[in-house]
Amino acid sequence: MRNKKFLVLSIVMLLVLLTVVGCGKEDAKVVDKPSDSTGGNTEVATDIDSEQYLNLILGAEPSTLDASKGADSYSNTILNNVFEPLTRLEEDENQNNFLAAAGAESWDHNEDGSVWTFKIRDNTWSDGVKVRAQDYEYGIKRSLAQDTASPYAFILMPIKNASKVNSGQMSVDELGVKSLDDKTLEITLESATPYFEQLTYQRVMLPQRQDIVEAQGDKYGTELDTVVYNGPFTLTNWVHNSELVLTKNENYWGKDDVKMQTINLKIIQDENAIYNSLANGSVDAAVANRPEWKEKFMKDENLDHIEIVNPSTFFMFFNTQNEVFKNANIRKAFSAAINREEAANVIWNGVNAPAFGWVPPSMNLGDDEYRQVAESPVSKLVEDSDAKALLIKGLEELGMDTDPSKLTVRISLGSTDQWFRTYGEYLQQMYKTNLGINLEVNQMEWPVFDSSVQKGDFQIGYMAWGADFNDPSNMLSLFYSKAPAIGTGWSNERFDELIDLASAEMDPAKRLEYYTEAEHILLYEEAAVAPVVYPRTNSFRYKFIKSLGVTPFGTQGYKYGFTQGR
Amino acid sequence: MGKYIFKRIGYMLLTLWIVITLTFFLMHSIPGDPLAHMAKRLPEQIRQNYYEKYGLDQPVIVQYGKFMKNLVTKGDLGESLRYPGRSVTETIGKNSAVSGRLGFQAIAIGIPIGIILGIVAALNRNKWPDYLVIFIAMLGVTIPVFIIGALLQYGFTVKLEWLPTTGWGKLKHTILPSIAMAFGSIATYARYMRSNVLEVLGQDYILTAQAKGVSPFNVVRKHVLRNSILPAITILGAQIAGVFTGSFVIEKIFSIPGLGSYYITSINDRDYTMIIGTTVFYAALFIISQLVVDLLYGVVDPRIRVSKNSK
Repeated sequence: MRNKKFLVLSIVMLLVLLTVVGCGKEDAKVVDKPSDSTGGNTEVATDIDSEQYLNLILGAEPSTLDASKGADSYSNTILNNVFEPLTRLEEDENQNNFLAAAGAESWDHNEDGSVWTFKIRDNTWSDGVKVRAQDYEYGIKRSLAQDTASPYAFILMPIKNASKVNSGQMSVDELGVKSLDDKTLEITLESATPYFEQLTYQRVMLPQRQDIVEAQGDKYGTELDTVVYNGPFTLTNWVHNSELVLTKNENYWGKDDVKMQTINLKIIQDENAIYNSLANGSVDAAVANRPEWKEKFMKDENLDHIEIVNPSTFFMFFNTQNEVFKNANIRKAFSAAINREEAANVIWNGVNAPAFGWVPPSMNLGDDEYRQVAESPVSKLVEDSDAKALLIKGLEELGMDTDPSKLTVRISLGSTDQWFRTYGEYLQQMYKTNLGINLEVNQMEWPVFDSSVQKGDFQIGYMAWGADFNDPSNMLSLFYSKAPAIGTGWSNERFDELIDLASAEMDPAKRLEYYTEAEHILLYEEAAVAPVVYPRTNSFRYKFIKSLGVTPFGTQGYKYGFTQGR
Repeated sequence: MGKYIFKRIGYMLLTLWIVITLTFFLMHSIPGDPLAHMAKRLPEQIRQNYYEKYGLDQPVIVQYGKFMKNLVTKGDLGESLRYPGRSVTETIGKNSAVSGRLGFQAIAIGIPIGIILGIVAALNRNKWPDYLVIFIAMLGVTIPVFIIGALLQYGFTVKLEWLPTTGWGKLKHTILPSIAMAFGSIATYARYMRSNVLEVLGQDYILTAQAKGVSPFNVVRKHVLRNSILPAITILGAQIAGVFTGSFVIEKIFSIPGLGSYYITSINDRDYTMIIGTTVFYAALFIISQLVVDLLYGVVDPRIRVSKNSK
């Protein structure tokens, strides 16, 4: 008898365990935060503190130190500081990014920009071995090799034969990457790629030591002693899910620029714990978006307040294969009817900014910030049109009842938490007022949402997308019909053509033209997606911290940071 | 006795096997895959490579066969999908030790205090100590642990600055989380003990003991405590299993590298190997602790010692 009871109990436990699934923190996934490592300017310090250390927060456990595997921003943060990429995206005093020489002391390309040559700098690994061009070559090849199964390898597709190597049709030897000698790395591209330089500081192009990787096997990157380092810092302590310690790397070529001796990164996920830690000074910097804490910290005169625009867009997207949303006018109506300013203020407490374009702010095209020079198609849509009239027109075109109150549509939200419940109710109310339709809200946990979108089992979806590298093509090519990344089922010949044209065009002015038109088609003419807001982050840090930068794409890490007057 | 234990272990293995099998097929039947945690749709080829590498492209039954083979022959639970390269067995081993330390500290604080409070309350029935204990027990049961944790953290690390806010490694890091976790046990045990002691106090043998002139202290120690502690041992079983699995909430608030978070996050991440690993671990602990509790009954109460004719 008792055994049966155990069995029943165990099964009940199991079911309970499975139901608990719902209590996760999905919003963390929907919101793609950029890495906490941001650049800093290089102002000259005269009387810096004798003890140089920082206590910072890392938002979650890094998945791995294997640059080829994993793709989370937390491991990116660590990788940026312990490895030396070919280049770093550094930041000047006006917080403008510029590409700085790092692992490569100089680089050059042939006339049409299809072959790049990098001169590798004299540098030493933490075990005393010299850094060679072959280490960079091996890192790139390993990232693209099929059996590595790197999730992030797709950004390297501009490299010659990358796609065929990744699918196993060609051996890695045929990849367009080779070291001509110990100091020269040559990368051949499929064709000239305007944003190629932006890839040279990505994790999948970091150097790796073949001997170490092969000796460690699957364990490579799982613990701090399975890796050798060649960046400004080395990892000297790693308690999983608790703390990491970075220590200045005395073998690093630029060690004279590195002032920090120790950086303690505490992994703290609980919001209250983060605020408490900043309030009592046990960490030197933290993000605080919750209004009551934000206000409290803004009043604290020991703290600097920095608002960071994340290169990411929160948006609704429509299933264009759906019988209602196949109609462009209906989609336009649903986009035009969103009160973006109100949502930003009411739902996001004024932290996030209303979004009127697809490419988020802080992304550059050439030397300009794209959003500053491109028009905003959604503003135009909102100005030009009456949402309700568009809806009725669309319903007519579909031969449906033109009474909006008879129309019921469903929005799928990829999280089951309370915030999304509130958000869903807000949207219901908003569409009821602005369009007079009935909105059903369907909340599900993220993986379920993800898979139902893939199956096309949705009408309207809502999610976020963060940019991987600093070029508008990264965001706009997501709708390229041959490789769609967002499950709208939408395709448009002219749009595809514009993406093709722009990705082969080296002239920023021309590219701006192409992307502007593409964005206009995507958001104004076709409204396959409806951007809602651009997320922003309120970062606070004690005033003694200097030269830790803020740009979201920046990769100089903690290299130039120091404290003064702690 | 030997035969009894042997038979019990047989049933335990059967139960465990059923739990593993059910979990395995259930977790593969829920929508989503381990790449979903990236919150991005990766290109087809990239996903294909990933599925192939981790054997996820094969039918679930084949994956099940492989998993069982590795588990039975090598005791290997596989490699985490969310944290590439990390062995699930090692992760569970390391993290459950952390949770275990914290859990035992919490029990070591919670049970004695709970038992003493319960006895004090019962002996002072309907007087102020009784009401006070009932009040404390009520608070302990009704206030969620995350509120207790957050309050303790705010009070002792921000206002008083006596203890570190978060972290792990030294005794001082364990104080607040242990206390926060102990609250629940204090409340539970105080309530249990109170009602049991009241029941025992009404028994004839207590009257006999008192009539014999046994001192009140010895009445409590020898007669009341021994007879009223039995039900408390029942709940101990489940608690011991919980000790190693840790508390998701407390670990999150105090940034403790325990096992608790893996139970929740592995499911959200669809980290299949970690889900099955933690489930096997918890199920095994639970079953074993039940056996231990049953054996403890016999030690504490001779009446329930297993005999040949009891089933």
